[in-house]
Amino acid sequence: MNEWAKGPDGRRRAVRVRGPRGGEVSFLLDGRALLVCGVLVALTLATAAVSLSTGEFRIPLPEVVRTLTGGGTSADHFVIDTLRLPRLLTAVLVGAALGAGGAVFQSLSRNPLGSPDVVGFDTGAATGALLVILVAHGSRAEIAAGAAVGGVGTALAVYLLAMRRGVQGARLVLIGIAIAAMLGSVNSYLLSRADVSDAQTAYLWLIGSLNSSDWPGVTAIGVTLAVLLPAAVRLGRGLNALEMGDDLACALGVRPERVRFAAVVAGVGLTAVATSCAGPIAFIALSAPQIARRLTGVPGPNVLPAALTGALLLSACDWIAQQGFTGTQLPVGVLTSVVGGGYLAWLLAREWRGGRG
Amino acid sequence: MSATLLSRPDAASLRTDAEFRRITAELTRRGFLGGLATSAALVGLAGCGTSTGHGGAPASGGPWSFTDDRGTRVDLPARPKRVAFLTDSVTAALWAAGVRPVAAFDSGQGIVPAVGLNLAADKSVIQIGNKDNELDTEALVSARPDLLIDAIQADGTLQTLSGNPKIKDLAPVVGIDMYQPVEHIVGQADRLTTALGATPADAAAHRAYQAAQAKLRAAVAANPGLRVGFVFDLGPNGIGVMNPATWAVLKTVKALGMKLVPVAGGKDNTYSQAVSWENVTGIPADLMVWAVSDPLPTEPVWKRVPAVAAGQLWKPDIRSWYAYSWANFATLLEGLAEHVASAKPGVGPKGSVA
Repeated sequence: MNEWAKGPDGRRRAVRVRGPRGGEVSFLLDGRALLVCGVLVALTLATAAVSLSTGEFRIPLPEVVRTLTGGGTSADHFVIDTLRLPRLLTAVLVGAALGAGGAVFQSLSRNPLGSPDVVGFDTGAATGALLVILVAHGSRAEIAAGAAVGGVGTALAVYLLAMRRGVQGARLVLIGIAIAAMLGSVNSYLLSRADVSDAQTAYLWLIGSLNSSDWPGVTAIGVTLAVLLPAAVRLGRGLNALEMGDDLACALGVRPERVRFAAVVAGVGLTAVATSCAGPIAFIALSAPQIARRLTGVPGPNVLPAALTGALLLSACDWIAQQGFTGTQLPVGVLTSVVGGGYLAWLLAREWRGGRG
Repeated sequence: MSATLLSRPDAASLRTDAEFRRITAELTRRGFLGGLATSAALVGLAGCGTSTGHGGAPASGGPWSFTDDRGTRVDLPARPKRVAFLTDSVTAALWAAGVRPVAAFDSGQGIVPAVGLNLAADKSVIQIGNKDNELDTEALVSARPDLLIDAIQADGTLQTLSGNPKIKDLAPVVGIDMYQPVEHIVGQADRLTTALGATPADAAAHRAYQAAQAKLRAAVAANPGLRVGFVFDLGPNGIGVMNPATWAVLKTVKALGMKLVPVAGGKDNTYSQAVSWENVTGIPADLMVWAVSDPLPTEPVWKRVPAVAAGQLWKPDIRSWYAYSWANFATLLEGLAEHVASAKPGVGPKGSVA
């Protein structure tokens, strides 16, 4: 039996769901948040339809559907199955992972500019990838592995260094910034000593691109999301409480240490696999949670709306990067900064004008 | 970011293939140099030896097979009718030989127009190179090719396929090794042309080529001490001395007995050794051949290069480096033979390239 209770603002409902074995789960449902999620999903689906059907090789939408369901010509299959679908799915999944990871970190660091880089993640991932590209001359899979190892290793090191009878948010951020700065110099050194073609490969990786999306990458990011996204969504409540400070969170029955550790693991895991698939795509992790928060109007990390915003943002940006400029294709990282940043600036400006910022 | 990348003025750091490719690409953009940027673009001229055709295909009907320079055999149920050229050099070899593709790659360096294919005007051939000099995969799919022809690079890998592995699912791939002696490349182009059911367009020029070859061999034998340097423009940083162990033309003339300026070995010098302007006068060449770039350098020091000062310099028409045809290479070898015959040995400095 499920129970519903209307919240004081008339918008939110507390829902209690009784599980099959007598356990109970209760959560808050927000009408506007639900609507926003629905619209984001619909827009992402629309973007997907447009992405799959447009390009140099035109495939009308009915043909796309026929190809996806097994029909279609062999050329259609090559274009959809080998070129467009893996790229689209990578964009959607990587965008979702970056959005969710960003939401977790912004909440964790209690800073709207927070990103996985507060624990040195991006810089560490870049160091790992650069070492594989420039020193070991590794393959694409090895670069991805190098990025994941570098990012996770750095995040772990920062976490352990910040540990002293528990990890404080501020200490974590400070040590993260220090380690990131050190690794940043290592990265600059590696690039300055590199052969030009290697350096070009490295820069392309550093901008972030979906050009070499493939099915193994889709599987990796898909499995990661399936495991970590629900975990991150569940952590949302604890993170929300943590935003009010450890003492208050404790009083509300949240164990700050455990939540914080689990959040770092989930956030780093999501970002690590996303980064190893597509490179450190700029700005999604920063802008998606902020945009989502403003769209839903709900406090807290908004992990799911942030993931959906990230998915829409990255897939739309990638389509523009591919089709918007005749004769050339931009790396998607160039576009995400412009589109995501522009939209965020507009949102903020609107808030300030409305006196709410 | 790229500004940091590109500002590496020291000559010592110039000696890499990548630098070489970047600089040649940059020069091309500036309109100086027709076409070295893709690594296989230069390739060659004429040579010697016999062409190694082994097994083309039946004239028509029935299954088709072709064994390429990698030893990879392509088997198809019927002779392919829709062929795609994946690089400038492949286009330069096969268009000249008479194969008409459904799609061709033009990186915009002037090589493809130089062999007579204008992709902007000829709408029957789909251009599959985009502005960034990358393969436009979807344009390639839209041409519905049933055979892809790629260039084999100096390291044995396929030039376009190595960066776009997905297209191997589109159609089988035949590779042409662009770092073999010239007669091997043209011979392969002719063999493939025949296998595809076309008539090699300039087979008649084969005899002229052989005559030019004999003429150059005789000229070299009559002037045994002459050292020849094949060099090209590297912009403000200096010039490149082409590696005799890599380039098709150089392999061919070396086999005819020509003494070439040696290039230090090593990965960095696979294609060429960069020589900064202050060291250009030390290149141990009695005859300079200005290759694949246009125009001649304007740096004053160029005039002080001993071979240049002695008037022992030849700049063939830039287009003659591009088309891989018997006729073209016959002209190039003839010109070389004349300049070898008239040049004096011992003009250039002794020693090796600095």
